[in-house]
Amino acid sequence: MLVEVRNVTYTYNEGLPFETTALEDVSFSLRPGCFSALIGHTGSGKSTLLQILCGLIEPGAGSVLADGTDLYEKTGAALAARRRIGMVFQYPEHQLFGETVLADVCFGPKNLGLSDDECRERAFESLRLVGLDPDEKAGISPFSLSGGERRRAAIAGVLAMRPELLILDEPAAGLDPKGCGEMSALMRSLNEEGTGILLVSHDMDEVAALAKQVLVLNGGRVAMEGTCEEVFSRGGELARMGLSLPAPAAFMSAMAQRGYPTEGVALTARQAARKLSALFGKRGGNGV
Amino acid sequence: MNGSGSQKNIIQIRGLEYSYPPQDDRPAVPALSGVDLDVAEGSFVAVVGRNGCGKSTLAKCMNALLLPDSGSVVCAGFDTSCGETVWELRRNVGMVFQNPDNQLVSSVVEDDVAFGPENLGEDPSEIRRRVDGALKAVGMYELRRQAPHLLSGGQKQRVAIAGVLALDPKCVVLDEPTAMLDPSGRREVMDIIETLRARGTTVILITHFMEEAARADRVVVMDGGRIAFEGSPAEVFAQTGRLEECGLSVPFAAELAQLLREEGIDVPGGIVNAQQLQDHLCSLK
Repeated sequence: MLVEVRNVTYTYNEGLPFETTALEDVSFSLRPGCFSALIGHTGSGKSTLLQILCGLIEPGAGSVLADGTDLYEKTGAALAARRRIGMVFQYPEHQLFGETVLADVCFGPKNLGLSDDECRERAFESLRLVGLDPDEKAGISPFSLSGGERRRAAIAGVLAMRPELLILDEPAAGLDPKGCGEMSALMRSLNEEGTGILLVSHDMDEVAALAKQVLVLNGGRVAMEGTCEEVFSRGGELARMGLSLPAPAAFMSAMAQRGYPTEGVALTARQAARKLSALFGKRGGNGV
Repeated sequence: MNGSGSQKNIIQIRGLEYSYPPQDDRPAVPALSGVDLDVAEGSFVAVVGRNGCGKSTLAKCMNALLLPDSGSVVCAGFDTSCGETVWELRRNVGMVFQNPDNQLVSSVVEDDVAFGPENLGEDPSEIRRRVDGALKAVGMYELRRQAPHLLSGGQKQRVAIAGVLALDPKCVVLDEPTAMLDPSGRREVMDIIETLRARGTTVILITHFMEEAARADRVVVMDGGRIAFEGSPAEVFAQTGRLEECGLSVPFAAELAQLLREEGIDVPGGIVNAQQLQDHLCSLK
């Protein structure tokens, strides 16, 4: 599904003393099956944009089109289009409420009017996708799951709606390093199976490892758009927006400032090691 | 035990076991099974471990929010299982939690910080002195008349820390204080921890961020309700394999240092932060 955001503007408390413009003339598009990341400093308008993208608040001006259908039209087609966009909020496990994992995951599909059998089938499929064995976990209370499992159960509830675009707001926040790795693997496998992903994250290393496209929001406007290589090679501009670089890129930029510049941007430790090896290794000159 | 005994170790934990009691159809959940830990006064100790390893339970045992099933916890000279001294204990061992929104009780920043000393029945002039001192220590004095809900996450967490400092504690336990913050909020909180360290306050930091743990004097790795291993950051982060077994990773600088060694570049062990590695590389040429 192609999602196009066209000239979207949003103002809080319009006409009141505390009027603040959160988004101003924002345009971009998300291609079918994309893996995009949205980054921006706190207050840059990310949360407002997410709420507009998933149909929660209507933009003051501009439109959001899903395969050409305006999400905010008052039509059945608009409602159907909104259902194709899934949203995983921050700490989604806080939204679990079902008596069993199965009941919780079935809540969405049930509201689509699907039969019990269909709901169950979708729930089992979603639980398998997030790595929870339905035979073992479907019948138990979601509150007896571990923290990481709870989060995955909550995501299964969104996947049961079979979204074509899945938006995740800081999905790895608060997880331990292993849990973060599992979350990355989940997003990658969903994307490989064709689901478009929009990842919102403060963790630039996570963004660099996963995203193919990066969108930078600053002061309510799109400040940059491009591949990880393109965006993360503009460290100075990002720093002025209160954003940092992935650790390998930050390391190489500090080395450049100390008189050891290298070509291109390093996004992984291995890339950084290779560049440094060319400088300091045997081939690079008087290394050991 | 009383608070006057001089102690080199501000926290002494021996054979600590704790299980969460059974609930409805759920059996008891063992969380800590035999923890021994000494924390030297004035030191900065980081506790790391996968979700569910027992690190938050351990933190809650340090100021008697949870009491040991067996074993003992003595903090700042007070045994946590002694009911009579529990308030004295909590005055000396302050806690800061993950979610800044759950820790602020007042609608004005300075009132919130005054909550603790007011409850101790301190003199108004003494309360004023402590509140001002605590707010200055966390760099929030200028915003003392603000409403907490208008602050950023990092600022709220600084106010929560000020609320603890206003009690003039010997020790501050922070349970993932940066988990819900953005990078600049995280930096703010880590800077305050450095300030506390400089003042001689003992700091226990529970964290999932290895970069934060690398700044401590000592890193304690927990797994399955026990201490798996511990040591200086240099010692702990040299053990990539054992860390992975415990569901953890190493800081970026340690990972890069290892890759450079594999490339045949002379990089000594014990490098845990980027600055050290950059200094070393620049000294090669």
